[in-house]
Amino acid sequence: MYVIVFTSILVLILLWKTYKVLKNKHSSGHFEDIDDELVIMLNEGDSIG
Amino acid sequence: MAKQAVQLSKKKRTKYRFQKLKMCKKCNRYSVLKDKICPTCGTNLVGIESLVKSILKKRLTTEAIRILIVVCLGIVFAPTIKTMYYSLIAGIIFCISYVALTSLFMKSEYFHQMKKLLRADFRKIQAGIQYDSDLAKADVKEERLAAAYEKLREIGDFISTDRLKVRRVMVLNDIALRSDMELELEGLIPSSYDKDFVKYALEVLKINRMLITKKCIAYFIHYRDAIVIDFGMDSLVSVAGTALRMKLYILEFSTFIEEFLDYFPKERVLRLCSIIHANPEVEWGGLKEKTMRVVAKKYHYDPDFKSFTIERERVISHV
Repeated sequence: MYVIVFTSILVLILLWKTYKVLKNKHSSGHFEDIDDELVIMLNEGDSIG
Repeated sequence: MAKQAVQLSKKKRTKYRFQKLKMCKKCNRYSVLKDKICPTCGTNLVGIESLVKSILKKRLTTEAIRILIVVCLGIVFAPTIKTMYYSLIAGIIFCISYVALTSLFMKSEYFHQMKKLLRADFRKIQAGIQYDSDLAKADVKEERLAAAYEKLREIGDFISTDRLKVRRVMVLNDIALRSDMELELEGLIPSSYDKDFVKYALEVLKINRMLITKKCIAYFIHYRDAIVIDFGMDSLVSVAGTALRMKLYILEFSTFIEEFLDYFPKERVLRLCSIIHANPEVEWGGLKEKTMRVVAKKYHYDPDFKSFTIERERVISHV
């Protein structure tokens, strides 16, 4: 019983980690996109100058 | 005010703009300037990439500690020696899998962390750039124009508002421009008419014609009436003359060039003739005709134009 519970915990942690990294991988794009997003956000409202 | 003779340093180039972001961990303030030390507290600024790497490292270390605790607890609370060995082996396999998974997706994790940090710290970045802009303002007040321009140039990579463009142009107008300076023009074109910009563009035209691009010529054509009032007809003649730099520009702005052809210096007319002569297959429209007329009228006896006038005479006699 102990072995089953312990193994299940480890497998769950590993599955959770896999889900997280795959989710991040899916949402990741190009560094150019980060650049563009930053510039768009900074230029909104013409507040700096 | 007399123009200031200054030495402008070369612009630091990075593959991506965000790589220019630095942070003072003590002041918790971002900067986009070239300075390596915080002007407020004097501590070293940390680059955004190092910052993201250290955050990622910290996160992974915390995760590693947590999983090690789980594995250790599993081993410690094992009821028998057999289950203890099992827990130890399972823990080792688990740790190896966890490390392999993390290293396999390290690049996307780094990307995700960078995006997260920039989004979370956006207001701080904005405030930091505003602070940099204030430093540039102080430099202008104290007539440190080179330092002010270099700061505004770095900020200009992130901020493309008319206000900032005009500030940069105003500083450049107070500097004695030289051909060895790394000047910029297209990036400074404002969205509406600005006298300071036109003044700067005309100064650049004298130094480096290469900087007068299609967008810049289009700006001059669009605001030609205001430009004639402020700077006279000669300014438009100079810009039209610069349009002869490339065959593509000549075709694009042929009407504009045609309009000022009569006022072109000999060297410009000669250049236009050579381009037209070298590209007989191109449809030049009225420009070719007008150029030939100007040559016939003003440079008929000029030996430099001999080859063009002979050709014209040949065509006329053939007809």
